[in-house]
Amino acid sequence: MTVALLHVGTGRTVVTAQGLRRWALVLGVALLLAAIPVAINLWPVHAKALDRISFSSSQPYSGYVQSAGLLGLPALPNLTQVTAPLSGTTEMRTWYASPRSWRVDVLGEGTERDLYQTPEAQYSWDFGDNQLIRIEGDQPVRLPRAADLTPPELVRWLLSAAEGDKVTGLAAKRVAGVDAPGLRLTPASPDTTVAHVDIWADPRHGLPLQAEITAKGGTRPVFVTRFLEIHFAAPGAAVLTPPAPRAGIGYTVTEAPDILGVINRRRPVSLPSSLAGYPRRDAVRGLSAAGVYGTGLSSFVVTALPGRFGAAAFGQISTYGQDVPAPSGSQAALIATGLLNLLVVRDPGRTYLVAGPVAPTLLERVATALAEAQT
Amino acid sequence: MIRVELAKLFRRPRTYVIAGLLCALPLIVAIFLATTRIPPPPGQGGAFLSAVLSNGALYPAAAMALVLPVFLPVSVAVLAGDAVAGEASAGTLRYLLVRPVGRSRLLVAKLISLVVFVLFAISAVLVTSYLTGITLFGASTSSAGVALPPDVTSLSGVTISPAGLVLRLLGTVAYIVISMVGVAAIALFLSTVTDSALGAAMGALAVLVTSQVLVTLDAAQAIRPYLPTRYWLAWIDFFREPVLWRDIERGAGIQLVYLVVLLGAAWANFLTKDVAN
Amino acid sequence: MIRTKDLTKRYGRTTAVDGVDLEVREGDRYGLLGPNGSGKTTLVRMLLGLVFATRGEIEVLGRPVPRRVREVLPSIGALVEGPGAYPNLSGRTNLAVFDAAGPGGRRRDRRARIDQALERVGLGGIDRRPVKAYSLGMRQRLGLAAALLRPPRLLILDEPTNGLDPRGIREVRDLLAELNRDGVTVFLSSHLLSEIDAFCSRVGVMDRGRLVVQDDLDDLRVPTGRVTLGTPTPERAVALLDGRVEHRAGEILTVRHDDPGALNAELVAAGVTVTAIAAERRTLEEVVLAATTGSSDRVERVEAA
Ligand SMILES: Nc1ncnc2c1ncn2[C@@H]1O[C@H](COP(=O)(O)OP(=O)(O)OP(=O)(O)O)[C@@H](O)[C@H]1O
Ligand SMILES: [Mg+2]
Repeated sequence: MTVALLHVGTGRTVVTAQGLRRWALVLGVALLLAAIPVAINLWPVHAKALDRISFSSSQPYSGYVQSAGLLGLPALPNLTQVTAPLSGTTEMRTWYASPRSWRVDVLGEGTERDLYQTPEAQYSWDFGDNQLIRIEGDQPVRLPRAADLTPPELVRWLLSAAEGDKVTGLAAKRVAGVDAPGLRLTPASPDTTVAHVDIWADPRHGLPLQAEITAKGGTRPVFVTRFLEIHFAAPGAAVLTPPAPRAGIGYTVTEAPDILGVINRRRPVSLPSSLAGYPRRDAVRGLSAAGVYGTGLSSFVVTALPGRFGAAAFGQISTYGQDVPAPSGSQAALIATGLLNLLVVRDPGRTYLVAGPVAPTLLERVATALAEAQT
Repeated sequence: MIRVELAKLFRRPRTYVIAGLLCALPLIVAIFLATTRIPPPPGQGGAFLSAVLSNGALYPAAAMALVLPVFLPVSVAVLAGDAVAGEASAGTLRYLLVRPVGRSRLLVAKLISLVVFVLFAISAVLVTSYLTGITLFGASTSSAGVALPPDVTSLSGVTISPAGLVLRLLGTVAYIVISMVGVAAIALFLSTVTDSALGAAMGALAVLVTSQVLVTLDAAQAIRPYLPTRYWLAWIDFFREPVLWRDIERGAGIQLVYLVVLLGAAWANFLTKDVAN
Repeated sequence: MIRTKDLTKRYGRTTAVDGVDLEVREGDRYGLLGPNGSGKTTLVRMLLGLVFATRGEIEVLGRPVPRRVREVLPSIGALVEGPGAYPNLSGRTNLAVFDAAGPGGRRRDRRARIDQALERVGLGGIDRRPVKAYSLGMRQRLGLAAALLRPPRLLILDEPTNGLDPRGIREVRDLLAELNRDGVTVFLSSHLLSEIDAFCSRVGVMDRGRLVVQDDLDDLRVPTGRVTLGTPTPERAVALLDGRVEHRAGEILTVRHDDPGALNAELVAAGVTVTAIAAERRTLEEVVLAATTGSSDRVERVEAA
């Protein structure tokens, strides 16, 4: 045993045996301590297989969520809060009492961005900006945000989208200390980039605890969101009460908290009722700056961006992405990340941003369709 | 023996020099911030630095964030590296041992005196930075007279009452002490291996720097939770509402593991080591 | 008091102490002699449990070392290879620190004991200067004071007079003699023959790690078979002793003869005036030189090879 000979050059002495016994004890303790996490990991998981997930949105919970995306999106102007969670690790705390009462904190080193839903309004708090925002009314069009990426929220969206997709059982897994059975969702549509979505849920409440999205052609999931801690007790009222506006912090009231909402309010445009064979799904009455086309995992979002902002977005995407053929008078560029693909189409009057987990070939057809719809 | 170690600690001028340097860093930063009023962009620079411009009472927390990543661990590593090796090369170790002082007792006394040093240094930083913050940045809302510290904003936007702030600062101090105990254990172990105080301090710093690098490296994700510096900044979670205990608990746990294993290694090594210098 | 059996210490390839069977008896003034690098300090460190032997047994004050060394250390005063002190503290504070570090040593009489120890080593009037401002001799005296803080039964001193001036050496010798009269066993190492010669009752000689001589000083200084003789008429004595005179220096003659009494009678009978007569004894130097294989230089050269 070489460790015992740390006393360099001394060789064996009358106390060497004693020293070896001490080292053995220390090594034993170290191994024991190191074995604890290993043992927890190796502890067998017992859970029945799932063939479907149904969970009620009235199930209260609170927990600690970690999401990790490997999408590698460039930082787009005004959109970093959307791209960051998809390209890196995000840690969140969440408390959920009911659909009208919840809170999600996005934790950063020395900072925090919180979103509160109360029966009256939404509140967002940003410590870095020292800004409290009250968001009134429902937001017909808004950007995705970190709070949409907790396992229950993400799975809610995926399941609402998944009709006619194939469901198979998966080996159970321990998530946040819960032995969670799993299932795999394989989309039927050829146009989606998603190979399959794996979901593990709490066996008692059906609450999704972990979701992994694997893109076509990949072996490892490109997006994972999971609970690291979960509690099923209803959160207290104090936790769900947003900070009160007061002197010393900024306070604004708005109906459109993000850029998409702003565009939607100021410059509504009309979008075609179908694109590349996909009908527009959520036709909001009146005009809107954004529309969802298609269903399930083969759906995509189209947004019309106003002049200056559109030019900036186009510049950014064409720098990182590759050009796509478009009818004369228009330009188009595409960023392919494997899972989420971004298309920007620009002509003299307007810029369209298209995003979705759909194949680049479909987006090329969308580009042509959009450029033609223009005229 | 513990009393002797403490006496030695507080009779050495270097104890006060190091504490003074630790206090000086936040002071210098505060002077620049107060004169220019240019806050670092959120998420960059030291934590809380942008917040202190509006409320000086939070400056102790900002000061902790300034001294913790480099200054404090370096001083702990230097002192702990010197603990046994320094006595060995000064020739006092053998006279302590023939007094006789038990070798295990000596190690424990050294560790305790290091803990006391960290407490002393942090308290000095807290007090000076609180005074600095109040005088240079002022208090945002002097709600109840001048004597009381004003309410401060937690990371979650909710106000922290003065009593709450004191409790959270105490928690911070305790957590930082625990984090530094891990550093001390590494350096103390190396100090029993080599007779060069500088070598022991350098070794401990090398471990810490490596750990800091690995923490930020995605490829080393698998070992991240076990790195000694992984949870160093978890004390910031004391300033969230409600307090986020997850990382604090893990950080304290991992430091205790390092303490047990490395103090054990120091003990196993030192008890049968020749004191021939 | 001290007994070792086959005590051996190897540092890697060097054997610092090699099969030493040391025996120090109660009340001894034991002097350990040996050239540089012969293993004296290593032996002392092993006796105090600072260094662990490669092989062999040690018993100090009836207890096995290093197993139960902590039981005997409180009754031992030690000085190992030079004094050690915290340089930024004063001498008095240094003694207080060391006294408080060990067990026993009540707080109440600490001051008195420190004062007494300082007085004994001649530092009674010491001021509050830090030790780093001390001269070499003062540090050496401070080290001795530390060894005397608690009344010891056994003193183990490695080169106690290192760095002292002749007067200082004399003072230390007197101090040790006084302690020894009070029943303290003194074990000291040195490479100064004169010091051992003047103080010790028992001598051990080390050479390249081995204890080559261990005996009472008186037994070592056997007569050489020569007699030194003083006479105002050396010519007559030389003529009378015819060829037995080995050396003549003025009125002092060295004569090969076993018995000074018989020689005296012979000379007086022949009418030669004898002013002084004594059997010549071996000096310690001769003993040491005969026992050791080479000078320290040569040891070094062998070591370096
Ligand atoms: N820590 C050590 N590591 C390696 N070798 C050592 C060590 N200490 C002593 N030695 C070697 O052991 C031998 C004996 O050294 P020691 O110091 O005991 O001699 P000494 O008789 O005290 O000499 P001096 O009269 O010069 O003080 C020397 O050859 C020395 O080089
Ligand atoms: Mg020596």
